Amino acid sequence: MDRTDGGAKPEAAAADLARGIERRRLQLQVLSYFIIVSLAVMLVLSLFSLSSIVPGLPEGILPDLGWVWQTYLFRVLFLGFVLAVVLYLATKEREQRTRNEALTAQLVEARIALERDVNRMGFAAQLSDILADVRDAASQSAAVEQALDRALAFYGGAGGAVVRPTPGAERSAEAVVTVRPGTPIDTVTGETVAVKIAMRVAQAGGPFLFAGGGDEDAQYMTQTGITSAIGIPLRVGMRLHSVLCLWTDMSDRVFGSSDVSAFRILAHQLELALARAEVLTEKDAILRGVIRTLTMVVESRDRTKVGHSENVGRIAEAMGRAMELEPSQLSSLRIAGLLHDIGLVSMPEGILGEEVERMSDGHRRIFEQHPLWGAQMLSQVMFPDEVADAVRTHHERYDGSGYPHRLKAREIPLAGRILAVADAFEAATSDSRSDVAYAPEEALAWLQAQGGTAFDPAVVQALEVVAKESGVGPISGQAAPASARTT
Amino acid sequence: MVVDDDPVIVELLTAFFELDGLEILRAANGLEALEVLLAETPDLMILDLMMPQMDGYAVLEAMDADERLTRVPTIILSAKDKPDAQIRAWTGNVHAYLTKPFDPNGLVALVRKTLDSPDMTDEAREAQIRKLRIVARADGGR
Repeated sequence: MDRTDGGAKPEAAAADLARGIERRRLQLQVLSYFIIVSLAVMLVLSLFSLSSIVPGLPEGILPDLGWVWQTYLFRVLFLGFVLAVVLYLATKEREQRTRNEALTAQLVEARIALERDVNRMGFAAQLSDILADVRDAASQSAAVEQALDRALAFYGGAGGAVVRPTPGAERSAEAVVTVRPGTPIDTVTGETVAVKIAMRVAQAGGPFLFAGGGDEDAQYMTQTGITSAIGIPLRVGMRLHSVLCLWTDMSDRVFGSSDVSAFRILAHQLELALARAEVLTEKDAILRGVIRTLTMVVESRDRTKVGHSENVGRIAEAMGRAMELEPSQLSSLRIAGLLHDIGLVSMPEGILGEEVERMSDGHRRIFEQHPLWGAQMLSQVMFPDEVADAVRTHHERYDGSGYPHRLKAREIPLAGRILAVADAFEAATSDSRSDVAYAPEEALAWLQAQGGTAFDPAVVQALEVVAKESGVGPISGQAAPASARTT
Repeated sequence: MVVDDDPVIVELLTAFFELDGLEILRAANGLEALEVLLAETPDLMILDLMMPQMDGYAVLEAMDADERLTRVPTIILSAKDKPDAQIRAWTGNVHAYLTKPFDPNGLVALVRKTLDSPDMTDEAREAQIRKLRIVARADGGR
């Protein structure tokens, strides 16, 4: 845990140890002097009593001081010498041990610091993973909640929230709130607290810290059981986008001003994720708008297809979802559906008004190229290849009798096979071409009958799944007449 | 009759319809629409959904409740494109639902067709609603 008050202990201990080592050294010095001096005196005295020990030494060279051995003074000195040696050795050992302790303490301190850094990096990495998936408003909420959960565990908080003023509505805000299980401050209370914190941050224009205090907001927070709270502004673009709030409910864990810098990890990651979501959402909106306008252009050339493209796009996407395709494939299906007839804008005046069955050979040849024109137009835009491929092949038939290239079965890309079914279903259920709009059930039955010839039976089945999910089931044994065919 | 709170739309449509030989009545919100409906029973109504004071849905409800009004064929013209919003509007004598932005020529053709056959069976309407439910599946499960 990233505590800020834990630093005091190791430092005090280290000072103690250093003092201890110094003391020992002084003691050792004193002892060693004493030992040397007493050793020297005894050596001298011993020399003088040599004559009584070693026989044969001529008398008179050194005065006979053998009697000195007998004096108490000498004995005391001798004992002192022995003690001093013992003490010296013991002190030396103690000094060594103290040095070891000091070294160990240093290593422990270093390891704690390293762990703290590794934890921070791990936390930052976790946040990065969680928030990397944020692409739009929906994924944003879920990811922010997860990030807050991790933050609570890491910082030791009781609850947290990201509060955003609701666009267009004054005095109202959206909040993503998460609380630690077991805390007395639940998500509803948490939301109120978060909004209060957010307002203070907005007023102050900067971070807000509460750790006790007397004003109205503070009293409210104390009443709910909050011991400290912090609010940090999150900026996207140059403006205040939302406010990150965190609070504690324990008296031994109180946020301090030094915690604010630690919270920057979380705040920074959130800012990046929110900015990215905004950009992607905007980009998405612009793209949709442009495609919609293009669709309108297509429909203006062939007036019988009002609303057709939008439906084909949606149906194709629904079918892709039923077939459990990837989100990128679903998106391609949607776009391909919306723009599948864009090649019609290249058709010469006059051809579009004609019935397909009644076209002259020359006209039919040109008409049957409209998928190619469409694909060519779309390949200029940076859509995925799948989009142009689907548009190019949406009039191919499963048995190879389609146009323009008479592709067969799997030679037709999956997106193209899906589009063919979606297009046919939509045309059959609208009264734009013929005067009759078939009910979805009848259209489904007809499509089923065409499985294996015009359409991929697996793809038709996907549409059945979608229909069943909406409460629509096929009527067996009924086929729609030829006039419901699509162009 | 054209019912829309956007005067630009009303102006644009009026020009197109008058060119096609149709006479146009106007209303800028639901209240005015009901007044006109009661006073002059138009042959067809083009109805916007999002209007102040009284929106298109409320107009449809009022029409369902009143015998005299129920028979006016209606084409919805709205920026609301979500299938759920559309399903909600398919009531009474609604014949078609067009989303904005729209091609005016397509609308004129639709108007002509509706004037030629102003009665739509409930069965056909139900079928449209069922189809819309399928279309709505694109947005994922509920």
